[in-house]
Amino acid sequence: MNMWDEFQIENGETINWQIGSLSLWMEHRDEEFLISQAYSDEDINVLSATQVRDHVDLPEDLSWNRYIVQDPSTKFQLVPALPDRAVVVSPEFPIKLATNSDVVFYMSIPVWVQIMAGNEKKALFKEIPSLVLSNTWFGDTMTGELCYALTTRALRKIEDHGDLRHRIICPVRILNLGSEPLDFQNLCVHVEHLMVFGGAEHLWSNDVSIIYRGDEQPSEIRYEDKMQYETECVILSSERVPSQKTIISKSFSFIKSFTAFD
Amino acid sequence: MFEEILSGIEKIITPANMIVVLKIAAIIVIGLLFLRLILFYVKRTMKKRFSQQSIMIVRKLLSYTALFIILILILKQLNVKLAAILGAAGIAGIAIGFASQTSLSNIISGVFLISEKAFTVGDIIKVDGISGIILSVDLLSVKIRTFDNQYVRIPNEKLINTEVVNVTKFPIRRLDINLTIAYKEDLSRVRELLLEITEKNPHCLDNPEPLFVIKEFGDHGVELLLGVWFFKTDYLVTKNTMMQEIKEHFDREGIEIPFPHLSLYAGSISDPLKIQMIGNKPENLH
Repeated sequence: MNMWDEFQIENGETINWQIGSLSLWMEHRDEEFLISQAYSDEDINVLSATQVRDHVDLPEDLSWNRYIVQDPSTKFQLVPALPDRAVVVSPEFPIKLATNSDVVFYMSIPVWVQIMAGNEKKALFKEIPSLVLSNTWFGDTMTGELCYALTTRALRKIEDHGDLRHRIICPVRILNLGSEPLDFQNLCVHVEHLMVFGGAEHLWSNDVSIIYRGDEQPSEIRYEDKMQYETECVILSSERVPSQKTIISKSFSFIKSFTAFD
Repeated sequence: MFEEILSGIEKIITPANMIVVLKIAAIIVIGLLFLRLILFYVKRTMKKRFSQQSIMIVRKLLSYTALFIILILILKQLNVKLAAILGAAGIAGIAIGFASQTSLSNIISGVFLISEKAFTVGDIIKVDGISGIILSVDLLSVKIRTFDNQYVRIPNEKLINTEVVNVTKFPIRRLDINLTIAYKEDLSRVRELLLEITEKNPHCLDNPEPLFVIKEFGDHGVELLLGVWFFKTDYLVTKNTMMQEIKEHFDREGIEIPFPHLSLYAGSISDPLKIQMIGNKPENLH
């Protein structure tokens, strides 16, 4: 069964999904649906759905949540979505981009799994991140925004990602129109404005372009409607927060350390 | 006797008086309904743009003004001469002013507090050892709900003269964890371990980076400070998870957290102190 297709769970049936470090179980017991999840210590490159044959196979310490629906024959669907907050991407090493140059980075972002329920119109049942991301702050200590922290190698070739089926690839193009080289250590991407496309090989977000014009000026961010890397792809989830196509925002963080004591 | 009471009532309940009573009732009902309607629309329109504090002040000002107007209209219906009342009110005002200096001081302090915007409804403040969530900032006092669910009223005058800590003014905070480790421990290893615990805890912010300080060589061990940043609403979960994880990791790695103790040495490298009995053993000592 395709991971992101609609499905039904028969009474007494249990399905297990493995999405990266997330193990997700869903069981139909009489008129209730039970959902449980667990995380492994490492982010494994896996995306699979299997039927649990025997309850002996289930981990003992699982804690289940009970969900009640009117119609026991309700259809469900797992939908891959982007995180619910902006993501601060920290490349392993600081990056310097020369003036009047542009570069495309392919960020791999963990999937947020939305369990949708309903036969005709589907509603959100439960949402679970496939990887628990650490919180981080983008801005100074008095103003800024709460984001998720993501350490990535900020790869410049899609092939270098390998077979990353459990992550969403977000292409970010950075254009430096400032008079000095752009030296940055953190990049804030507002993924809540992005859609998720399902391609034959990968999950994609729409393209993001950031135009940098200098320290004193805010960056211009463009969210494109399309995804250009795979010809046949479908929209799997729409953006959480619709935005204008172009917005002006602070996107880069240059100050690395914060050393106030007492 | 009964006839006298009855005739007295008949004199009061005249058609003219009944009209006045009805008019007063109409003023009260329509006035209060109109006030409620205005307050509802004010709350709805201000909700998106203004703080809870500003909405509360505007609503209170509107309520007091409307109630004053209703009172004036009622007095007018009763043919009370307003000029005389206002004159009397002026004299009474002076007398009341002298008698209520504390209240006036509180009101002036309240005006300063509101204009200063040091805190607003919903903030968590600490005043004189009391901490809680602000329920309202009024002209006379600030009302807070403590975390053990007690209602505390703090006069504005006291807030002006006392140090007030607004815990939730800024969006992120630092949790300082003071630790003492035994002298025998490897400081680099402990530092590495503490930063690893912080990095793995999803509630601790990656940026600003955690702070690690070797504070001093204390009486019982090396005193350390670990400062981790967190979003202001995550205080309890950050503190509890961090404390638990530090204890578990220290136990697992065999890192000693020394309790207060006193060791006696005769020198830097020495044998234990020798104890020598002088004199004969007392006869009755068992």
